[in-house]
Amino acid sequence: MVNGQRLRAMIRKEFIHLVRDWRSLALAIAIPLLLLALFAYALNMDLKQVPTAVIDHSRTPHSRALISALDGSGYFNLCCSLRTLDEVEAAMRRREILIALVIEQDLADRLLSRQPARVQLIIDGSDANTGRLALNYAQSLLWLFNPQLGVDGVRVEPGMAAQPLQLAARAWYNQGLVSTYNIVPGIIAIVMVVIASMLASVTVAREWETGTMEQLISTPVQRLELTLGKAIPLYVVGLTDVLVAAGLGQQLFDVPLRGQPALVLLVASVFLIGVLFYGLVLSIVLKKQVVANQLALITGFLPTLILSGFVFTIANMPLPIRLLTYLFPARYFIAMLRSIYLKGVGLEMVLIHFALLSFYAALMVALANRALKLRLD
Amino acid sequence: MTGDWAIRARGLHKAFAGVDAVAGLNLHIAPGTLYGLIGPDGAGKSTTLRLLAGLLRPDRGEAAIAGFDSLKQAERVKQHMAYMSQRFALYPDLSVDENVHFYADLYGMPREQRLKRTDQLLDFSALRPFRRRRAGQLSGGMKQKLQLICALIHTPEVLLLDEPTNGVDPVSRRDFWRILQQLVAEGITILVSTAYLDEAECCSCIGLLHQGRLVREGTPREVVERSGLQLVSVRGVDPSRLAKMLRQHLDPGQIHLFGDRVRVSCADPAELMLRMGNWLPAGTEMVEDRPRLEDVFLALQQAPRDERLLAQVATGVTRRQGDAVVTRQLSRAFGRFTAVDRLDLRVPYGEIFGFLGPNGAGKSTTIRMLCGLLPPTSGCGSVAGYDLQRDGERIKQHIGYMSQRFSLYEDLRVAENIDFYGGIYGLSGKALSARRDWALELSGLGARRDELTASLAGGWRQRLALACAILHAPSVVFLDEPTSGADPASRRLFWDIIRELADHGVTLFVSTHYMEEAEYCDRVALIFRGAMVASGSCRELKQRYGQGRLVTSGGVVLPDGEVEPTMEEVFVTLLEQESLRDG
Amino acid sequence: MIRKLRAMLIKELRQMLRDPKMRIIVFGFPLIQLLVFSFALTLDVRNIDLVLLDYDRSSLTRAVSAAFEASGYFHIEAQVETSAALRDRLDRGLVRGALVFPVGLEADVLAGRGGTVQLLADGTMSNDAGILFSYATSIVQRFNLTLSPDRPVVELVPRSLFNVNLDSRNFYVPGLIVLMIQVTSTLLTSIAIVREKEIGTIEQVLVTPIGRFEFILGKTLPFFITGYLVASLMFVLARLVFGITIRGSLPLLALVVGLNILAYLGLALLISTVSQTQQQALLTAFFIMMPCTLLSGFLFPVANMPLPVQYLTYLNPMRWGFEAITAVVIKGAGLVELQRQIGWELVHAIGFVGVAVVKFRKTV
Repeated sequence: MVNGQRLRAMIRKEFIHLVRDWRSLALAIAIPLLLLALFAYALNMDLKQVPTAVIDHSRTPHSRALISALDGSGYFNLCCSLRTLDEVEAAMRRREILIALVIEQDLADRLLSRQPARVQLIIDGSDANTGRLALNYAQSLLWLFNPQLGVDGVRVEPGMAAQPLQLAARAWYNQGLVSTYNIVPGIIAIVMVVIASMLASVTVAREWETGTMEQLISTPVQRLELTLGKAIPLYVVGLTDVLVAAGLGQQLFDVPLRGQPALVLLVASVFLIGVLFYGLVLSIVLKKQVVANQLALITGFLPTLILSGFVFTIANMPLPIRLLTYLFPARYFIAMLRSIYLKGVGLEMVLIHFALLSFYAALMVALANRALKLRLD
Repeated sequence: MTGDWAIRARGLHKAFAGVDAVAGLNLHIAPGTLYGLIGPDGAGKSTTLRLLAGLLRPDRGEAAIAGFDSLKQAERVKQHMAYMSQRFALYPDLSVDENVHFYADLYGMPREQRLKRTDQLLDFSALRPFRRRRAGQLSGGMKQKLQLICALIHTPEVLLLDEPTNGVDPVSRRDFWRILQQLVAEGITILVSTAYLDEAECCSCIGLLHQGRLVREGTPREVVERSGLQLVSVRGVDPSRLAKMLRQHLDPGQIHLFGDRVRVSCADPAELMLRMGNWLPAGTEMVEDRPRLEDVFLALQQAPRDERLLAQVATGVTRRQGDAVVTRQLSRAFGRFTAVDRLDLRVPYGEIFGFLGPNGAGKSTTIRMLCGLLPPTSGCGSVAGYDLQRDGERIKQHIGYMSQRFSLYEDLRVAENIDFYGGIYGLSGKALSARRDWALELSGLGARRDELTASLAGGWRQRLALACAILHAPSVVFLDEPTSGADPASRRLFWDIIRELADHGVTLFVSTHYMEEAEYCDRVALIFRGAMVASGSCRELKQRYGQGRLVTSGGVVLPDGEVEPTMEEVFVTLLEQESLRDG
Repeated sequence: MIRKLRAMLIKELRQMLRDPKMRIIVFGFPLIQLLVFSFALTLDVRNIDLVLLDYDRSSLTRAVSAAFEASGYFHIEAQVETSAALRDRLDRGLVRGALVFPVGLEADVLAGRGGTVQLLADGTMSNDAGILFSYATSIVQRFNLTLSPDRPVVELVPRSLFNVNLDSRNFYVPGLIVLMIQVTSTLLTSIAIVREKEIGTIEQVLVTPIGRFEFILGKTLPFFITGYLVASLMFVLARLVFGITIRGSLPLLALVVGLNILAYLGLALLISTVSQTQQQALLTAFFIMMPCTLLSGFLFPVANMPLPVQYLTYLNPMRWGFEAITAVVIKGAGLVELQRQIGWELVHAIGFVGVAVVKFRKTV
């Protein structure tokens, strides 16, 4: 079925194309580096120093105790003291503050009379996520603050008042909740999807557009030789990207690889085959570089960023969208990578994902070979 | 090889979108034949070759190559055959060697055998010095030869070539055909389609394809003789006026203005000469001429000459006096490389000026300077009265530029292309719609105005490109290889249009390496390595350089000695002389 | 000038929209993606499956697990008997956390000694784990209040400005629109010039009297128009499907969207001018789009970035587009409040288009 000499010839030719267009190749290698640097140094969703305003109508030891509890946490930066709600709104419009704490005049009275005292937290809802995070932090701080209140409503020595129930929370696999740990696997996936499917999406279409395909199919070359010959060099590029991203993750950001490195390579290979042949299918079916390339990018980049569980956890999404995510193989890949990296599990623990990913890859290989016609009509 | 034929087609049928491309074709070609397939644009030449190669599935009928069915035994056929498509189909970013080895591997050639064969073929085609060069950087002729080498690497029994010499300069064309002759001598069967009938004359057998059917077959000589066609050649002081006069008296379809003479086809030359003698001006020379394949072809196609169309060609053109293009010591250097070296040109209004030279001689750099795209590094010149150094932008208002390959947007419709160019020449409203009607008339595409340009065949496309280039009625028009790849009838009509424009005072500056195009020019200049080598009318050049070289492009000496040298021969002689001088 | 421009404009629009597949790519995809992603984008943590390991099996532990279930965030998916089984479920990723009650919890609490509930979370999604902890803390503390109601407490009453329910969709949908504007205006434009270079038609056009500035303007305008059209359609869709209204003034929105599109177009034309092949252009566009998206403040707050990177985001057209557009849509901000954003948008629009024109003059 596959003739070794012909396959080698195809592979060599495709390699030459890759090397001769060195700018594209350089970009293909540089993109994962850039992403990794960005995520490692610049991007995180952890809150620090949220710019906060305070309106303190109470001005009592009680209110000051509350304010200093927030201030001392490190999450909030009490940058200004305001007097009216209008001032708060104006400051938010100017993006100077994100939240504001409003303490009413009756705080001390209510605390002393054992009535629940209310403080208001005004959030800039235009950035709902940061707002919600800030709210959660403030809420947690308050839960820690309350048990420390003495009967007079002012703080007593920490730890004095015993609580009936305490929560001991621990995160497994990632004790310090370091976000880079789950980002490195995500980047590997997104880079592979985009690079592999984008590079693959032009290869066949370009041969149709320039007319070389007509010449090529007049020779004894077989379908599988053609598709494999195109996929293998790109597979090497993709795997290089994986190794670069994984190696840097380990060297620079100390991302632990608790599972088998060979397993990472196996899973990455299957995934790579899937996305490469997806790109080839686009290229074969659409026969036009522009259209195939656009489609590869559109169906690759954003869905992988958003629907794969990379940044946004799939379990938090509504059901129809959750079902939709099963169409994107990055989903299985990222889930498996995370498990192998952080949980150190073996293949038997991720078998379902692996099976689905392999099915996807096999489907794409079959589709590509079915769609490719060695004839002009 | 089995049987007595290498290529066979029986009742071959193929239709595209309900239109028959090949309609019941029967073809039997014996081994060792050099078979030329000729026919007008859209006659089904490419489709026939693709059907034979098994690249298309026929609707009916069967094709076979070297004893194997093209469809059912496609794998075997591919082993025994080589096919060369019309477009340049090699990888431009691969070197010559890399391309050859790629195809050698695809055909499963063992290594030692391949090295010998590659060397042999590279020597054969004189490509050996360029082994490491990227295919994209080769000249047109070298590209075609490389493509041929790739097709020959596995020593096929049958070779199918689809218009292999499009875009190739005369020297390379000559080399190419010499190679084909040698291959046939080695016993390979070759089926070649071509739009150039001088090439077809070198074949041992030709078939004339018309509307998907074979209408004539035989040796070139047989085909010409069986047509019963006779020719009279008329030569006078002003060939253009002479042609007009002849058209008034005779059927315009008979008249063909070619170079400095008018060829009149007829059934009885003696009678015709007697008749013409009555009204032709004194001093006009009349001789009986040998009809060529092209004349048979045209007579068969019966392309009517559209007088109404020709009368409209020059609408809107203002006649101007003096020189349209003048250059003095015009030079352009790129770094240390001098592309154009002290060029002196003077072209008056109303002249068809041929600017000849092989690929890379500096033709396109000169044209780019004359069009105001590229400022000269030294020297000066003017086009339509505007200075090249200072008025680059103004020049563009007064010139038209047509390059057959690139000027149209294939993804736009016919009328949309016209509207686009009309718009960027500043036309709108009534002026634009008047010009649009004119352009549709000129290109003969009135009924097909809503078709995509990509679907047009060569001849239509050229006329549309020309119409777009002269929408604003410029007085100087630059034409870059305007008729490459079109069939003879389209070429003839195109040159009739060009002549009409010149008669109305438009200067046509034709840059080409097709010597047939040169024959239509009033005056030609030959440039080589950036400098002018020779100039004058075709007749002058033929007298000066063409003596004693009575060979046609195939390297075959014609039997009758009274043949005039062609421009192609002049060109080759000159280039050989120049190359020798430079060592 | 106008006629030439109009000719260019019509031609570009025809070329772009002739192929039905391209029409879908230009108009269909942004809308579909907006729709799908709007549902998908949320950092609200919901549907948290827990596994329960209860060594105590008391009425107290049942009350606490009921409180977890009642919160609406958690769902006790299964109860296991051994810590090995618990570990297995976490390893397989079947649950996101585990709740463990030690032996004698109820007795300790009743005796006033206090007891500890253990919550184990899968830390592979670090953000989720943090939020999960804070939910759990709230539940436990609230539960404590029911055990000892007689203590002074401060309660937090959240109130959200501009987005009453703190619905993340109100934030993400406009953000997604900004992202889509970037993708649609950059991708297609980045091949606009390089394609004509590849086919060779650019030569023919440049020998006509059309100026280089007119040419590049003719290349920009159609994408500007389709970009605007797509943006408007997306705002209409956001209104119809998600009920997102534009708080600020429409002319101001038109201004900030327009400036933003212009900046992308300039950037894309620059890419197109310096690229040799379409593939290179697209890869370069992607190489630039990706950091622009990530450093815009849309997915990751700019304030959280290190200071040098924050300065770097000044060069990011999407950052200013994002801030200006979301401010107008969600907060109803006015011209005065947005002067900084609009100023930077202007700098980008003029800068990128200017550089593209200069570079084009030099290279073509």
